[in-house]
Amino acid sequence: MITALLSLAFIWCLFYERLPVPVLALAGISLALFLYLNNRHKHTEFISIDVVAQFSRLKTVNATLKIVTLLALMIVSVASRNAYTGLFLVLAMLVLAVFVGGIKLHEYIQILALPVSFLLIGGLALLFEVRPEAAGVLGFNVFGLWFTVSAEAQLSTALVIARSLGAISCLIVIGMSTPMPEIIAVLRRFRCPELIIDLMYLIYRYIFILLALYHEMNAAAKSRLGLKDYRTSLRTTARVYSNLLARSHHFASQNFDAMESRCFDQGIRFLEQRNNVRAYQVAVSVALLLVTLAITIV
Amino acid sequence: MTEPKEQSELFRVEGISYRYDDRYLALNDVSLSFRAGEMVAILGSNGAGKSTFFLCCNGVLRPQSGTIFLHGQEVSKSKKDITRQRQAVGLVFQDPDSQIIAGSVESEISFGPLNLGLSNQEVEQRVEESLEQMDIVRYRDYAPQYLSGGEKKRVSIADIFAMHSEMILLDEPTASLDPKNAEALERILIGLSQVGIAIVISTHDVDFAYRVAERVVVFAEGQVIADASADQVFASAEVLSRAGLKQPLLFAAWQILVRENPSLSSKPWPRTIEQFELLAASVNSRAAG
Repeated sequence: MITALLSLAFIWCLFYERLPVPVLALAGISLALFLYLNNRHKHTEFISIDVVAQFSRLKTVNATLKIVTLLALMIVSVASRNAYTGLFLVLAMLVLAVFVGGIKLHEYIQILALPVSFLLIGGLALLFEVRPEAAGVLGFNVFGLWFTVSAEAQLSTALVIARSLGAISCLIVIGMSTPMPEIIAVLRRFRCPELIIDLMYLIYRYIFILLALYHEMNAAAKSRLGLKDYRTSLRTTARVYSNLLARSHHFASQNFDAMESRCFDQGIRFLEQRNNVRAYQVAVSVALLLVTLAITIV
Repeated sequence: MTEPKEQSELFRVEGISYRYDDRYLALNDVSLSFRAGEMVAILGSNGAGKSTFFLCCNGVLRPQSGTIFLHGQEVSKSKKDITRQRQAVGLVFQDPDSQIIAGSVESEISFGPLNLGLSNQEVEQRVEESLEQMDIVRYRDYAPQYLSGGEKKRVSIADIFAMHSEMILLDEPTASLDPKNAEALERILIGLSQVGIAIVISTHDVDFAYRVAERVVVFAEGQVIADASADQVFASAEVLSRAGLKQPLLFAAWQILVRENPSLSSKPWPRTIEQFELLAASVNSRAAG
């Protein structure tokens, strides 16, 4: 709810005097409703990106080609001085993940919604300037200080948001179309240190395992009226988190024993699916890169 | 995988002891040996030392005293020997979630063989073989965390099967399994034993142990208090009471039947309800005749 309201406020400030008020109101309310409903109505408790990747049609595309292309697009998006590059990449990645990859739209949106929420809230800090007097296109007086939004701040914030969204979309498509063993294999091919790869993989795995555990513990607390009011909820949440810490420690130790028992010594390795690079895949990758570069330059 | 069942000594521990944090003595002078293809149940109450024994057998824990032998050769502390021990003596953990680490069933099964340094082709072959043996081919691309308890258990056994272990230790394999899955697991274990793999099960489920095990080892306070055939162990009230265990239901019924019909004592004891029914029917028909 708070995220949705803050996002509404952000959109209002970002496009104030740049869009007609009815359009602005419609855009703000739509985004706020989208974030609010997405948070309330989830088809599952959480989506594991790795599971989605297993069923993506893009899984059969050569992992190195996919990762190199998307990382290049990400770099172009971040380096761009043009907001249209980021917006183009958001759309292109949506088409790639949902229509080409066959991922369900609600799953894509659910995964994208989290970074979008962070970006919009973080954008508020970029948008506002604190001044002793009123200035710019919009200003609020709080205890004698003016929180103002200038036209330049609106432009630079829009640019940062667009660049970030473009880059995040590329990262999400990598995650949603490439199973973890293949990402690991590509990192290994790029000579990424083993320790970093192992840590990255284990942290990634543990997020989902501990999240599942958290949901179980939360449901158990809920069933015993542990979340009946605000005060009780705070107490219960603190207990759930401390228990989660203890359980994660125990779990990590058991997990390490299980890995050691299967001769784990150094470097987590899994069987990787090797997909050959096809000419049309290279052509599509190059075309996507050229179009993005053209938008950036023009 | 159709070699005849061998009965040579595969693995032996002599006088092993293990103490946690220099205080709690979990294993105290344990000596046991296992032959290829045999089915052994290890029984004992919680804290009796069963899981510690398994971790020592696999090489995750190094006993503070005692010796371990594999195929009659002492296992030293060298990395090569420890790898050989871990490959030969596979361990299936009680909770599959603490064993499974990969994002798909196929990757999960490949983890052990890849750690053995095998080629990709060999690993692919072993993964295929394990998927088929455990009847989980259709779950190849599934994320293990979304499988049912029984399916996860099969994946965790497939993990070890793919390492071509000669002896598989299973810690509480029937815990949290429904009867149908427990029955399926029983068939899998019997199948593995028939191809010459020694199966050692740690369990509280005396009925399961009675059905599948030829030999029963009982642990109490870190020591072996009985090591004999299943009927000998389950007939000993003293051993069962020391270990805090009960007699299997079928065995208790069989004993009542034998008490009333002493001629049955020479017959092999029934392991399944069907075998028991046949024996009971023969008694009834004799009584009627």
